[in-house]
Amino acid sequence: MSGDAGFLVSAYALTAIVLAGYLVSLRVRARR
Amino acid sequence: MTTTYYPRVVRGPRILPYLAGATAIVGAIALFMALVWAPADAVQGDVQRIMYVHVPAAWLAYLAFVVVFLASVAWLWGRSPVADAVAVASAEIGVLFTALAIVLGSIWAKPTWGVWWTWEPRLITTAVMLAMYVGYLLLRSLSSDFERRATRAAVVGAIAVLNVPVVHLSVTWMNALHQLPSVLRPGPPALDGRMYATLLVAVAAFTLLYAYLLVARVGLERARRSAP
Repeated sequence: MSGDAGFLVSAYALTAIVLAGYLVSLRVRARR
Repeated sequence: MTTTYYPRVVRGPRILPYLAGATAIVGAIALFMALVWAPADAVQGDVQRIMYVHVPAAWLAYLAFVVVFLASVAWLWGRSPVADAVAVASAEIGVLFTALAIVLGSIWAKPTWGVWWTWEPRLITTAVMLAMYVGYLLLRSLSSDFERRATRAAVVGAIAVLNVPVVHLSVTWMNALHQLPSVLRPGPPALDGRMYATLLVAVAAFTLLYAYLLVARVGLERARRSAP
């Protein structure tokens, strides 16, 4: 891994967080 | 022992578990290919691996907005409530994917271009596309009359699709910083075989994810409307 690994990890972590957040929002809205 | 009963909308349509399983499997394969199997870029190094999420997010945003267009035309044509539900669901997912593509592009741009953001054609047109579809979603909240809201939204949804070719072709119209298309262009793809295969599997994973989110979101929209 190069010195830019932080950018790569941030990008994939952000993708996971955003998609998981949207899934949770669908779940919450469905139960309301 | 107690059993919790959830209404049908919470459990979702029957196809959802299969779509979730397929998304998880193809997603795991895509993740392995993107982070391990595909070679590091000769110039950009590992940062180039951001492309395996940035590009599929952008392409699926295109697809989502084309689906909004088709569903909008279907509403104007036949006044089917399902068409309106598909339009709003796909617009919401398209906004999510567009925003994700912009932020991921920004994270890639900092180590590659030296800046988080620059005012060049692809970035500007993508930001305009995002703003227009956020506007589309806001427009829907202006009226509580179902027919009026659906018709207004459908007109906007049918016109706003013009953003898609504008964004895609913006890189070819003037000398820009953003690179030219490597795959969605005439002629063979201009990238390494393993990188290309990885990109295709990542696009497949995002397509399955889009299908899952669309089915789930349409189910939510229909349940809301049938609620007393």
